[in-house]
Amino acid sequence: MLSDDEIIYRSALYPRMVKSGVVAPEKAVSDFFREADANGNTIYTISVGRGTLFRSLDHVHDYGCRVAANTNEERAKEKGSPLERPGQTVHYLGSFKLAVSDVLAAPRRLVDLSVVHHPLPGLDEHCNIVMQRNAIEARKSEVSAERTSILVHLRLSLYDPEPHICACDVDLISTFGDVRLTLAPAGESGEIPLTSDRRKD
Amino acid sequence: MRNSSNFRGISYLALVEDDLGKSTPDSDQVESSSKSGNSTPILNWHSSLAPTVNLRCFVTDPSSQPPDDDAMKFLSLYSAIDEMHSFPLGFPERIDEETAIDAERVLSFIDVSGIDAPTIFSHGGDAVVFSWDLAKINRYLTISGGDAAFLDVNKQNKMQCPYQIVPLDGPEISTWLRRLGAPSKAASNVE
Repeated sequence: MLSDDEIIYRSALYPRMVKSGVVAPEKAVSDFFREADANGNTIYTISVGRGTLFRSLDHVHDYGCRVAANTNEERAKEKGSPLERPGQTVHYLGSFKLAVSDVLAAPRRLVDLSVVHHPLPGLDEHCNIVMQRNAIEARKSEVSAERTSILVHLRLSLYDPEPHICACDVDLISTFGDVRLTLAPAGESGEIPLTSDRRKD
Repeated sequence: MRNSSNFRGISYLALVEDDLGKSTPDSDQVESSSKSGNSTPILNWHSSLAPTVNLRCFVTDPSSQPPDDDAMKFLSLYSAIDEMHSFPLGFPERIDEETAIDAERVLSFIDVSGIDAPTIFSHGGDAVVFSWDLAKINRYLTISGGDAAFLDVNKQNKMQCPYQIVPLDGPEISTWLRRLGAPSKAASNVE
């Protein structure tokens, strides 16, 4: 478990976090991902990178590029053939910072929150923000309301967005080179880009 | 379920009293009409008669009158809810049928009440959240499990002010929803 004086990094990914030409907090932290822990218990997670394992900002970006590459590799395996690029691929656009102390300060009563080191193949720096329902009895709506509170809190806790284009994505600069990372809500858009391609990355 | 899915000509959804005695309509209780022209929205968000509320879709001819910007935003929101419900199992945005129906009921109230179009997002498969970006606060309305939960968040200090959770079929829901009145326009409809 990470200590509350640590910093974590949330990777911004194209296309699922991009709306109206920006990656805004509500897209960077849109929802928890449901999965099972080692004991088979249901947990809800958000992927982040561990700050203490990054030597520099370049290292943070290198991690983000590896996150995207790993995701694309898994997707290609699932598909059984090469992915259409950029139509089916994921690309790293930069990172937001988040203090573990801010994560743990989220208002909560019905769920437990923690940040745990969770290395993945090729991603030793990978961590999860973990949300797990505790034993306090509550109605479904109370749990949902608390989840809204936590998501909103996490979005407001993001800071220092740092954009980046991976070396392997230079050929796609015309596609997403102008995308900005912002701490403001996404701007107005006439369309509703509900990306259906929202798996955990 | 909801025949309202992806209707280009929906001008509004209205809640009307129904004698079927169900608070949540089954698919065969959702009526759509192909009649053209403008209709006066009827809204009885019912309160004391809540168990008899039924959802009814009125469809107007899209060519009869060009929809204004707000109308388009609400149309997009209805479509977004339908889209959330139609996602395959396992997709994060997917919401269950009960949540989708309840969210559309609330959205229809917001629509006919003259409240500005909110933004929308879903989480956990059983919650739809409407939000308004006001001057110093963000206001959130979480629809889940047949209830509505109200939350204000101060943008500067992140302080949260949750209000009580109100049953959608309870007597006080109309009052709470009318308090939503958001003075500023939402910039977009889906997060």
